[in-house]
Parts: sequence; structure tokens; C-alpha cells
Amino acid sequence: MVIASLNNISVKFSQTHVLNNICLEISSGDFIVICGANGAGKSTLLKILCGLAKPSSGNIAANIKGNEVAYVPQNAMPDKKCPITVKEAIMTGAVAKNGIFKKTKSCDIQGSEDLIKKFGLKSVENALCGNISGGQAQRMQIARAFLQQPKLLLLDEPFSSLDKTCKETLTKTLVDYNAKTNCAIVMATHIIHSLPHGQYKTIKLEHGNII
Amino acid sequence: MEILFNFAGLSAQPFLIRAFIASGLCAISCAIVGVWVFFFKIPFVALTMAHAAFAGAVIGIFFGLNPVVSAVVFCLAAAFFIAPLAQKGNFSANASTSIIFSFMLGLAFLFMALIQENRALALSLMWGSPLTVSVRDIYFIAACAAAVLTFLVVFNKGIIAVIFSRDLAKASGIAEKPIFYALIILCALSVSVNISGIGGLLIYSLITIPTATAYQFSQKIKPMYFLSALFALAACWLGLLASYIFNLPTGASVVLMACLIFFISLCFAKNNNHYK
Repeated sequence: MVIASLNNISVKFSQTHVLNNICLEISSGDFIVICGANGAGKSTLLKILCGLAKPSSGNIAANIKGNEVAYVPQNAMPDKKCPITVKEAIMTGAVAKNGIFKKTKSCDIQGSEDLIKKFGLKSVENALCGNISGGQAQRMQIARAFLQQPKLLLLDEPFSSLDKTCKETLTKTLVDYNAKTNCAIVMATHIIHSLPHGQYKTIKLEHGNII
Repeated sequence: MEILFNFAGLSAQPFLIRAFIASGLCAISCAIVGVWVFFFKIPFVALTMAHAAFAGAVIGIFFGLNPVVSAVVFCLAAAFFIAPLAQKGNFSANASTSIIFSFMLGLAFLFMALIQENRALALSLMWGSPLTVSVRDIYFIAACAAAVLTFLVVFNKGIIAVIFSRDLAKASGIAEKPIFYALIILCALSVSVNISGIGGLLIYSLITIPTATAYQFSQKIKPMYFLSALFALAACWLGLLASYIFNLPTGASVVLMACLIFFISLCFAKNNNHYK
């Protein structure tokens, strides 16, 4: 099932063309890797998909609701003075999934505890999320996205703050998650060598164009 | 409350009880709003609201209207114009806030000069006087405190998600804009209904100082709500007592008491410099 399609999307900031006539179709279970140099338009493309940026022209057709999209930003580190703990931050994924009025379900509490363990965040679960390391922040953001149980998961440079072991573990986790849940994953990265061969579709962006 | 009065050697007179109830309710709403203002880093918005409330109240007096009602109207108008003005002018919300701030300040001084009668009443709105609050004022203040507390309880999860990250909340379908604007509107309401008690120019201090004091003891949001309310309550009631006993201007006493508590807290607070 096609969950989102971009038709001739262009983005222009002032006089700079960031994306030019991008056409992309995303179906359930897709694992798409967008690669390209800095400034190629990878992050903007992800922001378009989650509604954080508006295209200058073109249209987006989506067959999923807003809360079925989870986004992990490139700069995963929250504000240094953010008063939210790691546990509370991960639980915001459940808030997005269930809505702000619904009572927290016990399965979400259990789910957040499992994710905290899975992503090695047990020692910092009650720490303020602005006081953890960059790698921990990145894992926290991914755990939050997993708890949301999205149909479309957008990851912007998810390996940027991770060491080699964490990169490999995360890659395996993402591939397994994609296979198990049929969630479409779109990942922007310039590190594609650590991904297992043949599991994903690669899109190369250069100066805002798909090549 | 009588214990507090007896402790201070005062008799529980009705106007004093009204003042304590009004300032207590004001402390609670301002403290909670203060935590939001602190973590969204929008103190300038709160300052602008204070001046909008003052301008609204002065204009209300000029036209013979209820100053609290006109203060609410002006505050809400200021809150609604911040975002569209920034969008239209293609600049940041801070820039549009500063324009609204200047506009409101200009209006306030213009109408202050134009007021022939009731100038003393208009001046008292600048510094406030909880000792003269009426029962009707208390109803307004109580309704505002109830609205702030209800919003906090009902929307707590949404508030946490938006404070964590407005972008992530938006990207994952949480209604971040309505929550954020509701917070600004509640800030506007808290400022405007409390104008007669604390004063248009001083209410801003009661929003920011108790939260800054609370931050010296806890950086987590839940304890901060409680601590901020506690310090605001202490500042209001001790300031009120000091003003009554030593015959000082009440708004100024409350704000100076809040500052004193803040400086004392700096001596006892844990070291927060781990951010550096």
C-alpha cells in the first residue's frame, strides 16, 4: 500500500533551490536510504514528509494520519535546560500515538521500559534529557519514535553521534523493526556502508535533484 | 490564615482576608504560567502582556469601563497579534513582540495623559493594591487560577511533549500550535486579571522570579510547578504582611520579597553549573 507520494516537489529558500521536482512514492514496508553530500536536500526532504517544511510547489498525497509519522531529527540533543526526563521524553511517543487526552496505557509503560533497556538507557532514564550524551540522545529519540509505533519512520542521520558498535546494533534493530512491523523507514545518511546489502532502496540526492 | 494573622499580630479584617485570598490565587496562576514562560523562553511575551494589560486597563478607565475587562481584551488582542504580525513582516516573533510592546506602552502613556478624572486609580494599576481588591475581582482571579490549573491537569502530557520539542510534537501529529497559543492566552489572562492586585508593571516579576527561584532547587518540570507556586505564595503573603505592617506600596513589597527569596535561594541552592 502506498502511504505517501511526493509529486514534483520543489523547495526554494530565498534564491536557493533546495529540492527540484522530486517525485517519490513510499509504500508500507519500504526501507529507503537517501544519501548525498551536505546541502543535497536530504533533511529538507524528510521535513517535507513530516510536515515541518512546506514545498514551494508540487503536492504530497498521504494515506496515513499525522500521528502515524515519527521523525528523528539530525540534531537529537534537546535543549540543555529541558526539564523533561529521558523516560518522560520517550513517553511522548505514546502521547503522539494515543492523543493527549487518553490515559497512559499499561502496554505503553511496559513498552517504554523495554525500549529503555533495548537502547541501553536504563542508567539515565531519570536524568534530564538535556544532560545526557549525544549518542544517548540519539537512542532516546529513536526509542521515542519506536514507542509511537508509526507507519512511516523518518530518520535524519541516525548514526551521526553513535560509535561503531551502536551503529551496527541500530542498523540491525531498524532492519528487524522494518521486517517485523511493516513500517516504512526513510533514512537520510551519508554512511551507507554499514547497512546490510540489498535490504533497502537507495536514492541519491545531489543539489536537490534525484540522480 | 488566622494563624498567620495572629502570628503577625493582626486581626482578621475582611479587606485583609480578601487581599490574602487574591494574592494567593494570583501566586498560583502566575507561578504555573511562569514555568511555561521560563521553559518556552518567552519572558518578553509575558512582559508585553503586562504592558498590554496596563494599557487596556488605563483605556478602560478613560472610557468608563471595567479596567479588568478591558485589560483582558487588550492582553488577548496582543497575544493574537504576535504570530500574524511576525508572519506579515517576515521577521521573528521576538521582533513582533517588541513592536506590540512599544505600541502598548505608547497607548498606556497617551491615555494616562488624557485621563482627567480617576488618574489616581490609573496610577494604582501601575503598582497595584491587593488591599483594595473587591469580591468581584476575587471571582475573576479565582476563575483564572482555575483555568490555569485545569489546563495544566488536562493537557499535561501535551504540554510536556511541546516543551520537549515543538518540532517533534508537530511532526508526530500533536496539536502543538493550539497548546502553545493556549499557554500564551493563559499568560495573558493571568497578567490581566491580577492587574488590580499586583499592578501592571510588577506582575511580570511575579511570573518570572518565583520560577527562577524554583529552578535553583529542581530542574525537573513537576517539582518546579510546586516549588514555583510555593515561592510565589511566600512572596505574595510575606510582601503583603510587610506592606500592611510598615505601610509600604503592596505591589513593590511583593516583588521585592520575591527578589529577596530568590537571592536567599542562591545561597542554599545546589550547584547548577553542570550545564557548562
